Amino acid sequence: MENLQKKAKELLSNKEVDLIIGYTSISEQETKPVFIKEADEASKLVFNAFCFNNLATYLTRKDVKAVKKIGIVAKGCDIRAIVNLIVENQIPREKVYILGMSCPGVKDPKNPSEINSKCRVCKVQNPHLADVIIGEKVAESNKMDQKVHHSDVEEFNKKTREEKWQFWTEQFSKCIRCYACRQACPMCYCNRCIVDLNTPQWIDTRSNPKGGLAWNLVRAYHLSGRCIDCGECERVCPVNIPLMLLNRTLQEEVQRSFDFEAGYDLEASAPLTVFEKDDQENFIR
Amino acid sequence: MSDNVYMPYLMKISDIRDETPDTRTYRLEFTRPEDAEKFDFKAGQFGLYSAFGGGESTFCVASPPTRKGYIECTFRVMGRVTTQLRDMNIGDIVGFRGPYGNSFPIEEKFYGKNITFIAGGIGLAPVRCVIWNILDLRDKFKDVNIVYGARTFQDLVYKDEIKEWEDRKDVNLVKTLDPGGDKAEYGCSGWNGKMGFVPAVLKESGIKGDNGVAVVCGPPIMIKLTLPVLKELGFAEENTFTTLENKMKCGIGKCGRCNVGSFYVCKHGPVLSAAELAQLPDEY
Amino acid sequence: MADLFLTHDKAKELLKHIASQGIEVFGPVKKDGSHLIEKIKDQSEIDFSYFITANSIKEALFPRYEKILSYKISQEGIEVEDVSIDKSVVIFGGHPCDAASIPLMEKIFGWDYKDKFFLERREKAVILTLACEEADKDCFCTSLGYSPRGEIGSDILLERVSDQGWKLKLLSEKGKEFAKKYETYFQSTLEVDKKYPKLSDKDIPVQFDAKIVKSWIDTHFEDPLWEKIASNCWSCAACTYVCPTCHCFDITDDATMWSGMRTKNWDACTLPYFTLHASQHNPREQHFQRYRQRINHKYSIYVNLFNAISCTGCGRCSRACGAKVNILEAVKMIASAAGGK
Repeated sequence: MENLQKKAKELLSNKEVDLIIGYTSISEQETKPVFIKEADEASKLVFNAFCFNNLATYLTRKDVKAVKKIGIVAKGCDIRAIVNLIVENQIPREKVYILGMSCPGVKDPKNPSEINSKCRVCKVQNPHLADVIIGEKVAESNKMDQKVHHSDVEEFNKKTREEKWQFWTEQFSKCIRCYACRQACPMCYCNRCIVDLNTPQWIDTRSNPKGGLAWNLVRAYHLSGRCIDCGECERVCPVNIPLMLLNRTLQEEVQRSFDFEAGYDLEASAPLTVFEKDDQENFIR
Repeated sequence: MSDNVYMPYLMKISDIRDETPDTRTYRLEFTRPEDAEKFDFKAGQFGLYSAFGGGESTFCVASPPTRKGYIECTFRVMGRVTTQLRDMNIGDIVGFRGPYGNSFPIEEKFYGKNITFIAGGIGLAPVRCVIWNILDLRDKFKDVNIVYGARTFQDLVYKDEIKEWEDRKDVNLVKTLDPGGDKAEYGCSGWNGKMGFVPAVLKESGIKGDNGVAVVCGPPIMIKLTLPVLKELGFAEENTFTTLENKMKCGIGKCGRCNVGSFYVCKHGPVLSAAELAQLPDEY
Repeated sequence: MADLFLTHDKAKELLKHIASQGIEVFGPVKKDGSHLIEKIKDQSEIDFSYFITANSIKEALFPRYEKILSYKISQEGIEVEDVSIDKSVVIFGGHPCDAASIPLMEKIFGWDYKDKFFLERREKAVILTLACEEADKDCFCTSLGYSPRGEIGSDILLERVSDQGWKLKLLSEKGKEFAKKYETYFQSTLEVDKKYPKLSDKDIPVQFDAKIVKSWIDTHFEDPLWEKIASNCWSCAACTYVCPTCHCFDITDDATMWSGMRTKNWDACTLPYFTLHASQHNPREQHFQRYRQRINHKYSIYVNLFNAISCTGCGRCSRACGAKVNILEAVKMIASAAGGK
């Protein structure tokens, strides 16, 4: 922690960055995002097992985009989001100073005695892209070449087609259309989201089963190949829709079809955002 | 009318006039005679017009309250509802909820005064209502000045009425176009008005604010630049009136969308004086 | 009148019974890890093991979306059909902070134009609230003049006497009629556990002076503190939708070629395009301007209009916020900046 605070103080004093987005403690078992601009605020920064938020979501907010150089405290999953944002031309690499944090895992916000399930399959406990790495090296639990595999997806896939449809239509009818999932997600940065368009009205804006289904499916689809498994959407959902179950199912589908996982490689583009002449067409029947 | 405050009157389009390539005026008549009889409104009020299937949109009532049996609205085609409205024909049904909001204090503050109207582009629509209201009661007022301008000749609305006002001996009309706005490609075959921006033309017009009331409407930038000129010419801020526009949905003070601080445009407005405007927070 | 008690089991039976009679019943349901106030159906898992539900009772009187008129389109023209509010509603399981929101909502929905959708539904509603036995750091009802055992807006207050049930306090004619109508579900005695009541006003100390907060808001619209207060806000509507007093809505049409309906749907001033003009000008383009509007509206504008603060201190917005924006903290930062408590 001292190293983080020391580094942050240094960066702000030397004006190497104009703003640092990090975490600060609310209590012993809770942190929240904090935005600091002065060197003497660096003592507010912490990093611990309760730093669940993905701060990369702020990198595309209008006021943050206007800042010349931004420092960001990021663990492996957050850095995956930053890599994606760079690949998708949302932020130039030079603009962001990544304070990469070695991360042994964060607690599940809904079940604080447990490590979150995303941490079990994490391949970047030691940051894969950073301007400085802070914290002791962590013994890697998963190798980079391991194909991503989630146990909850495996369990779910045992259901029949009808059971799955029944499950999802029920879950999505709970949706209150608060868009917390969209706003928390670092990959949802469209200036004008499809649900905010009304000519034509692609998606019903009402909190009814039809609208909830359309909204959640469209968002999951727009995320496929881009979702970096930070789990923020599920955490912030006020009605506890298991959004990560759907996103992880699509992650594994993209892995199967395109041998691709998002957010690791600055040189690779998400499969559904580019095309090559020799792309498979085996899904056209 | 039902007890449902969201229930619109059903109006039939009885006349269509295309003012500019993207602006249209509809004359709407009540489909139920009992509605036509009971209906009344004051200059400055607005309504929510429905294109059934598309939604509702907010426009002022552009015709004066002195003319009974119909209302007129002028709108520019901008999005979903206005596109559907534009695709309608004479005889089609448009919904109307209103009249909502406050009105210009004509009785209280305009009687016996010199009235100066300043408008730009489609901003003439809410002002036109007041102009005709006043011309229909002409002897209650002293001088009537109208300063109206648009970016190009094409953008002038109510072209026929501008001619009428120009020809009237009891109205002083000053019309202007932005530099370059009189080219033939804008449909102009000879322009005998001024060339220049409305605030500048107003300044040179010789109009004074003594015993005067001003009504200003137009794009925000025009209003911003006109208010200081009016002050210079001697118009008091309490006697300078404008209308505020904000995104609306319910029009009756409930949906929480149109407020500028504690000023609900649909309830406390849309009409307000320059003095009141200066007190409002900058969120409009 | 003799004492009346209600046990958990009987309460569950009662609610399911009323629902079967064609009356809309809203009650506390355990669903996927949280407790929500929801419309009770046959298969609902009614559960009382919560200190506060994640959402409020708001949607019982102000649904997430509701039809306000319908129409048929033909060559001859348009035929419009009105909507009538004929169902009664029973709301069970909210807290004093929920019930207190009802007189507040009545003010806006009754402001000159009477919105029958809220007002008639409210007329026909019977509201049963549970006095609070627990509070957390996000609760601050007392700072706004309310109480964890408060009676404002409620017809029957249920005060816990044991782990099995409550004692009824009948607060209105409607409450008395309800107790009479369903008297077979209530009992005249219940073994009392001396540990109740566990909570009273003094357990939730007042944390700020709302008058000082309002006067700062009224004179500091452009203050840089707003950006600091709202720094984490990412402009979703979670706070708005779980709030018992937030009432912003949208009106939209949903139609085919030949028929359609117009509905009133929940909307939020915190969402980015809430105030977007057709010209694409947005008076509240930045996140902190929208958050400022939310606080301004609750703590100042509503007072200017109706002499009441549009907040009951339930803390749900703070609990629901994924970005960890906390309304109590925000208001305290303002009070502190104003030099007051």
